[in-house]
Amino acid sequence: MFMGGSWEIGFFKAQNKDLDFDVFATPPLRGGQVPWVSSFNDGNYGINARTPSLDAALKFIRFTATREFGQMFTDMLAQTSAVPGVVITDPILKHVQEMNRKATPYMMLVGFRWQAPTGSTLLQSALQGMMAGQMTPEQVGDEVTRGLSAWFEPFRGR
Amino acid sequence: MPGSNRSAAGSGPRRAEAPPPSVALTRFARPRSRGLTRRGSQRLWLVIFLAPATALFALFTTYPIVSALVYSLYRWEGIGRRELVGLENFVRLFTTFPYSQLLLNAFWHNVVVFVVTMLAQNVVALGLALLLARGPWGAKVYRVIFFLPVTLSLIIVGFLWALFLNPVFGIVNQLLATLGLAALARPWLGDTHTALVTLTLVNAWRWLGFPTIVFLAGINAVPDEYLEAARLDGATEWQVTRHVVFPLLASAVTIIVLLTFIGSFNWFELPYIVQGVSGGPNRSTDVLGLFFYRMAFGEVDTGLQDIGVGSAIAVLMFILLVTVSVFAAGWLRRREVELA
Repeated sequence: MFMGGSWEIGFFKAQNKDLDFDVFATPPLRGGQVPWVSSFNDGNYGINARTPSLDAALKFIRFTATREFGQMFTDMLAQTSAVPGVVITDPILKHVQEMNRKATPYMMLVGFRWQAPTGSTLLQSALQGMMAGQMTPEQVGDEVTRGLSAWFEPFRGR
Repeated sequence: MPGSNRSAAGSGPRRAEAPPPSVALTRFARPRSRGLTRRGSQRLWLVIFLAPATALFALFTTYPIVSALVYSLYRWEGIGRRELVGLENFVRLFTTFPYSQLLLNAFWHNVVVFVVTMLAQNVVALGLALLLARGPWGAKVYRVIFFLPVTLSLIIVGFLWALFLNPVFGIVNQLLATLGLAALARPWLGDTHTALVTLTLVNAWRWLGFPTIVFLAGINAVPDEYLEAARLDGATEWQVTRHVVFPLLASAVTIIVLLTFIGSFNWFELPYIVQGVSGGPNRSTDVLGLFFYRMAFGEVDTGLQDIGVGSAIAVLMFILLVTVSVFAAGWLRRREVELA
């Protein structure tokens, strides 16, 4: 078992195209509940306002919004595309697409990434401690909350 | 040297205690010393020869240190310097979670690295140097073998040992299994209890040849008459080593202890190469150098940085290294005199 995200699919296949693997969402607390996955916006394209080649840059950025680009993005990198109408053929990526129908924003990247220490920094380190048997899940939660309270007002004094 | 004589006469008599200039300096100075005293031309040449090194040192050492001190007194947003906040970054570092905990954790790890390096690297190096000094068969070959890892790039050392220690296919665990010690096999770099010591031992393996050569040179410099006199007085080999060789090795020990201390508390490369900037797993290999780097340049997940706190860590490291090194050097040098 490997804990990761959909971005690993393309990398794993590039390492070994015959690797037989699949993905599943973190199981819910009780049987019968629907598992949720986290989604987030992790990559964007922009143009430097002072670029001397504004026309060419605009032409390129418009191209990234076309279905042709989205299809190439999905086929070549095994990533889900934000462009509507892209057809996913990779069976594992299709699986990801199905799971994404029950998705929630990933709070570490949506809410807790804007000042230091970031939620990810605190969580990644504490989770390693939990996996090593040195921390309980409650202690991980406490450590993340305490660390974020350095700058996240609602957590102050908790 | 007529030119300089004339000017010397014009500026008053030369002081009797002035040291005679070296022949080389006098010869070099002659064509350009018209109008300068002999001593003045000597100083000019000293300045000329020292200037390049001084300029480089000032640019790449003094300037960054002073910059770090200045940076640590400001609040930062990304790479943008904001208002002066005095010692606030230091206060945050010492009092705010998780910085205070990370600082203590990293500092303690540096202490562990120093102690383990002293034992596993320098004590072993001393033993090897004593063995090599006896000139056993193949001593020159062994000397090269011991020194070989020192010449390897740290990137190569880190990469190779990460492969050797891989829990699935690494040769270390495979070797243990072959020797019937499979129960001892573990993820050496992935276990929080073993990761730091393992990494320190890899570092000791890489550097072992350096203290070995320094100690060997020290042992070889001990005059044979001292050893012969001790043996004639009926001293055993251990007594010769303990009471004649060890005291005369004191200056080599001073150098090695100081370099080990500075290296241990500046440690960055190997942990960074093998474990990444986070000092994983769960900060078990975090050291001050990595902590500084994460704060100043950001961590892998976001790249969010705090140059103010990062600079404060750099300043603390500098103060710690200078203070301890100066006191330790003074103490060790006094011991050298007592032993001699």
